[in-house]
Amino acid sequence: MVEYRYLGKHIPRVDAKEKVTGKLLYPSDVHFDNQIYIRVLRTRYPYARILSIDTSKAENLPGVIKVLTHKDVPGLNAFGIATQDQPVFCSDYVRYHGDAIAAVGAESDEIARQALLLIDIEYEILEPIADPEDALKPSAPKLHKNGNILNEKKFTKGNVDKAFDESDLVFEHTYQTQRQAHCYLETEAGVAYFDEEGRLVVHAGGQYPHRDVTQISRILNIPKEKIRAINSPVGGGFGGKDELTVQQYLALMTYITKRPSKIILDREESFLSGGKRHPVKITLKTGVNNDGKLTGIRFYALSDTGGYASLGGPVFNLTVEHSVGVYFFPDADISGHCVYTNSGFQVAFRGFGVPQSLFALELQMDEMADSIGIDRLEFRKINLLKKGQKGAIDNEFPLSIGSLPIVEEIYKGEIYKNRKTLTKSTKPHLKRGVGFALGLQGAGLGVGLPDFAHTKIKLIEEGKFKLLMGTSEMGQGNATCFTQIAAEELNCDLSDTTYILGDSGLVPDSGSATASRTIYAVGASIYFAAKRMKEAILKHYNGTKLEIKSGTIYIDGQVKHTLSELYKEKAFETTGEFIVPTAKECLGDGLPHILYGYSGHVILLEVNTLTGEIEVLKAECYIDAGRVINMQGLQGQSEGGLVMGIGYALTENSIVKNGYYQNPRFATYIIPTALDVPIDISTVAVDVYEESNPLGSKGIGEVVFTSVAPAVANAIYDAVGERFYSLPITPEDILLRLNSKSKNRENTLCPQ
Amino acid sequence: MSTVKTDKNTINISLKINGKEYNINVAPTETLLNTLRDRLHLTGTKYGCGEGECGACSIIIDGELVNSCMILSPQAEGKEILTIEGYENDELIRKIQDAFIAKGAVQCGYCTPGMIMAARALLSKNHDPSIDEIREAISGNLCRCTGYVKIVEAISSINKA
Repeated sequence: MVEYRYLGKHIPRVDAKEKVTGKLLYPSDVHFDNQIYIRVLRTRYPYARILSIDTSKAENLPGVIKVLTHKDVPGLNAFGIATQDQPVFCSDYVRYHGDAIAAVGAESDEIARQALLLIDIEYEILEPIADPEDALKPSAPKLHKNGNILNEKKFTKGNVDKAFDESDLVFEHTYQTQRQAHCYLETEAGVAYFDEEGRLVVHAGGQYPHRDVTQISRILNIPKEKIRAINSPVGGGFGGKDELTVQQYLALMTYITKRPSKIILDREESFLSGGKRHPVKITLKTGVNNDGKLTGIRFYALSDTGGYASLGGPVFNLTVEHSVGVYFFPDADISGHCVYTNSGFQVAFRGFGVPQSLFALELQMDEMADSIGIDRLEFRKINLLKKGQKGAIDNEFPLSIGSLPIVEEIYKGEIYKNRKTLTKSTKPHLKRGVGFALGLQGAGLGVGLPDFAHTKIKLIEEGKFKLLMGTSEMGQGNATCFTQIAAEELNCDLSDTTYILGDSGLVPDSGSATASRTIYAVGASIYFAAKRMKEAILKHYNGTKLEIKSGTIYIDGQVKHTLSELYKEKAFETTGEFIVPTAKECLGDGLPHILYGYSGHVILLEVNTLTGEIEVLKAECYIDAGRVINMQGLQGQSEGGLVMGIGYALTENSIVKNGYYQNPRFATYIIPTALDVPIDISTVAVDVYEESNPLGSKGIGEVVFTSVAPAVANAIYDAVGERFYSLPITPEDILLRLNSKSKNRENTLCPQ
Repeated sequence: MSTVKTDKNTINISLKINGKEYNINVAPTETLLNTLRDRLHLTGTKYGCGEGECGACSIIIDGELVNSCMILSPQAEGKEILTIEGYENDELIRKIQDAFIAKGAVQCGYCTPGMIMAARALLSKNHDPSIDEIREAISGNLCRCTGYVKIVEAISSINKA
């Protein structure tokens, strides 16, 4: 077996030092002495017609430099990754609580805030479409010119009605998931300025600089070459900064005033204006035979994208594609709608539509197993989809499938093995339960969408290999992994490398930091660039084995030069490319994926039946990452994904009532603190090698999250014998359910 | 978050930050967070919410952990203010930083300076905290990336070598 220097090891992050010292400048930290402070006027109404916009009083306030409205947009007054239906500034209608109407640029933040109060908007207030079911009614107002349906899907395989008729048991429930906020610690922020080459630079928290350039170019109606986007580092993204957030205001303000500009959203503004995870209502009918074999599935999902599309269409595609989870159903009827409403605005979020489907399916899997009297894990195992079988939408799974190795590892894990003793309660009111769930997550963008990565390696004067990648570093750790991959191939010290990420003016286009694709695609690309660099250096010296130690080059064991000396002799620059493989046949609209990452989550928790409180005591995460590049990074992603999943399961809910946000603050939108999560978390990387990748790796940024919430819900059932079909499951829900039960019992026992 | 550039209606104060005296004009209602970030460009202290809920702006004043968004700059006159930038003269902060790096307690890094200050406030009073004491001490600091496990491990590893 090959012994690796770096791959698979616990390697500390290459950017950790500048982060722990506070020296790293995030977009919100960059400052220019003559910067203009931007504040955005956002509507208080979820749905209204704009009758007039009067900015004259604001413009006359001393210190105000520019007030921007739709009239100031030279190009397309709209943006959106997939569908450009969201106005930069609303001109006729506002469609969600937080929609932007104007932006003030002023000499100070204080003045900009004051000026917002001086802008007069006259509205005709309209009755919002609060509920996705109302959006489908023929009487509903059309929120966009093509109506209220953003995406509609229908796939059938076999004859599911016949399958249900012939099944021993059939189950049907309706599940509801909630709107989750990303809660990156750095709010949407950034600066814009002109660089020495006269390019408009927009440096903001984002996830794909080259696409920011495309969107800004459309808005300003200027060529892409005149725009440079910098997206790294970012204080957390999780999908929420994939879409434009503040780049459009920065770009316009600096383009028009020719002065640097800066914006930092307040937390409340971030909660109001920012996109969320799609709430989805799922009606799920499944059939099973007494031998434990699944027979058929009918799945209908209604997803709420809110006021605008962004990636709502593709997100919904994944909801549908992942409806059968990791299991094989011979017959299937999968359908649904993703609709516009006036309830917030939903975007990409870690999991990208998949956690909603898995929540429904994994709860029903437990219920089916219990009803036919089969062990819940065994039941899952006998129904796992295998290579050669087809998925929900008749899609194939030609690449590695990690679900069986995950199940085998769960059997060996402490929680499953000791579940009987672990769930013994210590006090009568404390009930313990174990729950698990399996998950998967399509990687890459799907069929027909350009999904490639370009990278470059240059030998530079300082005697280092400079790695150039388009990817944003939002905390995932990809800079460290890319460095490891290059250093492994070049057989050099990590300190013999340096890197630039996420600056469209300096690095090649590596695609978006989304869809669990950066390690898989960009990692592969940097591997090829490093391989070519190694070959070029070996050719130069006419040698066969390269080693570099602290900048000194050894060829076949002999000292040759330092890297600085080599730089003076010849320019070395190589490129790497990787194209993500896709299915041969498109099943519509980018579907399906062929590469999937897999997960399994096992949860031990305790429910206090007097207070309804739920404490997660212990968790095991089983992840199919293909070959692991950095074990420390994998654990970090896994632990973070688990905790975000616990928040999704138990506390987080961005409540929108009749179109109005109710809890846009950390005081009322509760994410887990260090006291709310278990410290006893283990991560097991199962032994899978992904052949389609030169490193054998897959991405794991999302799959670490997707199966957490159903595992928690299943553990709650295991503890108290009650099934909760909507998220989050709060202490109030538990108490209400338990109290109503005990009351009924009292009534039966003691009739009045 | 708020920034005042105008010198009208400002008052002159002296702040002692990381051992250094700063004589500056601030608005009477200016938060220490804004003074640190926007006037002094000490941007290691981060803005996360501006209302004392997230801990990204945590600093130490006279040995106590404080959300710098919750205190006005004039109130900090005459006090010893320690921010993340003070690490070069603070051995305990450097130890915590090294532990955070070694244990993988950093991801996006935006909560990290505040988290390190919370650990510094704890460890200066309690040299050998229990796991639960560590969790309690950092419970005012939100992190969305790490799940806290490696942060607790990092703090726990200090003084145990």
